[in-house]
Amino acid sequence: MCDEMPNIKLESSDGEIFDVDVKIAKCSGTIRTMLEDCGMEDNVNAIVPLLNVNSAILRKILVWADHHKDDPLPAEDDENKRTYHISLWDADFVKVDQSTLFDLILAANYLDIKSLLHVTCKTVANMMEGKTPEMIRKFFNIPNDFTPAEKEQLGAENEWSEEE
Amino acid sequence: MTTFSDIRSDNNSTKLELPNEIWMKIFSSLTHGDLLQINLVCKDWYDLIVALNIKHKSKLVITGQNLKNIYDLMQRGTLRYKCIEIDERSNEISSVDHVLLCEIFEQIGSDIVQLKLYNLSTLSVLNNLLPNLKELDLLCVGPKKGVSIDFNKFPNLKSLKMPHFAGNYTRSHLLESLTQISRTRLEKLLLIDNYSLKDTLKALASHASSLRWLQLHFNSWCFSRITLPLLSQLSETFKTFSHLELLDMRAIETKELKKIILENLSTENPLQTIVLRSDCMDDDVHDDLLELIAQKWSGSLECLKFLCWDTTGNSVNQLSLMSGKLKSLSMYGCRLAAHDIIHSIAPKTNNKLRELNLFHSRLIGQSFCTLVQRLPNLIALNLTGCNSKVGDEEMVYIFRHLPQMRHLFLPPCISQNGIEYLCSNSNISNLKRLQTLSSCLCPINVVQILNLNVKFKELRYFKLYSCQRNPVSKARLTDIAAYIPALEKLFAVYLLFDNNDIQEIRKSFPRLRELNRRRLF
Repeated sequence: MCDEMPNIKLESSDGEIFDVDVKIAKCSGTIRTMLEDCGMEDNVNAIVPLLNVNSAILRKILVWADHHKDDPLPAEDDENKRTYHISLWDADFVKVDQSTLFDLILAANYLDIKSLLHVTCKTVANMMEGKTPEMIRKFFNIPNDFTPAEKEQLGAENEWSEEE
Repeated sequence: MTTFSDIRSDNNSTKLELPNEIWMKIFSSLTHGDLLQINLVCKDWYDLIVALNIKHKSKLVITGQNLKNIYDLMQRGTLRYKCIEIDERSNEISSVDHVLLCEIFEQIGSDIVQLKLYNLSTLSVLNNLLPNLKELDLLCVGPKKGVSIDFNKFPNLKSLKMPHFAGNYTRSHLLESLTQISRTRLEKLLLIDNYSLKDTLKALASHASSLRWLQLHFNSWCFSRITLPLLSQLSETFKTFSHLELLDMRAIETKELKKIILENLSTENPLQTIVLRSDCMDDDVHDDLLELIAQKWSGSLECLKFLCWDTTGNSVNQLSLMSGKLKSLSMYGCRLAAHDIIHSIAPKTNNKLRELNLFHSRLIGQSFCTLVQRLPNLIALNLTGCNSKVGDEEMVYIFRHLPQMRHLFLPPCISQNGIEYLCSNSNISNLKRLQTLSSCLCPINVVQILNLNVKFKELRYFKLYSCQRNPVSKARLTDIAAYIPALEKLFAVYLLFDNNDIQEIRKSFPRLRELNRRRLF
């Protein structure tokens, strides 16, 4: 790796400072914009505050960004390819407990890291595939707030409708 | 990809929160069947799914039995459907209930874009309540004396399917009304002619300049009965088409008629799909039609269904000119040698072809392997037909070389050996994104025996045959349920199910909506 590559400092919500290669930090659309818009790129002492990401999650995200730093930028229209290819490394990366997974989603959304947001969302979608409502509620710890009458009506409506 | 079954929700955690737009992103990658379940989890999610317009991807089926319930439901909240089917096959809706139906349509009618009916009188009742109707399907309506329909009541109509068997009165009345459409120009038309080619052609001519999609049935016409004036009317009519993208002539038996149509259609028509079919063994060969198609439309054609028994090695030269550009190809392989098939479909690697329906082919062994190896992007493959023989070797090639496969139709395998060979060579997990499968039990049995952590989570339709190695029984169905959790339609060939069986089977397949063509609700 090039020795000249400047580093910048990222500050997590709990105050920890991370010294990060600019190229890696720029995986995040949010950081990229901050650096470019605020002219912080050449300022080696600049600290970018990330108010919504704690140190544990930021540490994980930097691992992701480091692994993906040489990826080509995904083409916007290439929906199908992105849907079907989750690499083994990525699949392994998102094998975490549910609250970490949700934190990763929130962080990926805040930091605007599209590939990570896609992989994490798809992971949650995969967890729902083929499950009944009761299984999904249990899995995600969601209370059932339908009254019995509403439940019956909705069930009936489902039965009368078919996929187009 | 690894499954995530090892992740469990943390004990005594509270409901985890994500912003709505993230839930929407998550839901948007799920299938319709999954969304119908998500819909029932909690109120927040129900609202999100409604916002995702899932209802707009669904079709509401109104029957004589559920009409009253749908009426009640409508009173409680808004029903928003773009697509409605009124199915009166088992219970005709009485004239008393027509009042309820009208009240329903007064509320939902302006949303409706697509409508399929089984009874023409019902349409005459709803005539004025469908201002935005674009697609009307009358294919299954029967004869109805004294009912008159004015297509001009639907000023936005773009697509029309005319009835199969409507009797002389209804048919000629509808043709007349079709000819008189003045407020709109049709883009899609399915037209069936049994008696009066003259009237049919007249109706066709009145929409020729706007039609993009045409499916024609000339049922009982033999060429000898067609007079010269009719032939010239046919030629003239087809000369006036200029926007045709799809031409389906599978139900025109007489070769001469097909030839006249293809000869007179100008190359200005950007034809993408052509469907031809001939079931006569001793008919003239259709090679010249294929030549005509190749000459005129090889630049635009993407999908060719050329289902002629007489397809011979000579046709193959014509096909090979086009097949490198086609996305979808259907043909009969019964009279073709292995090298003919390979030469016509994939003389070298064909990355373009996504769908191949090769019926009645005798392709086996190494040539079969060559073919599938050269078609790396296939997402749909159909090898059924009475001559087709698929054994372990062929299944192994499919599993190994076709990882994009989504829709696979195989005849029951002919293997007499134990299943060990299939197990030891299988890359069955390549097929885990299958959505449709028609085969014997062997592929699923392999997963079962190897105890693989593979589930066919997207498999929604399964047609199941017995083979020598794996006879199908009701108990076996329950056995395999865990591997196909999202199954919505199951057809187990030669099995009969009574009501108790159905209850049992639904316990194993919670999503099942249809069993051996019978709706379960």
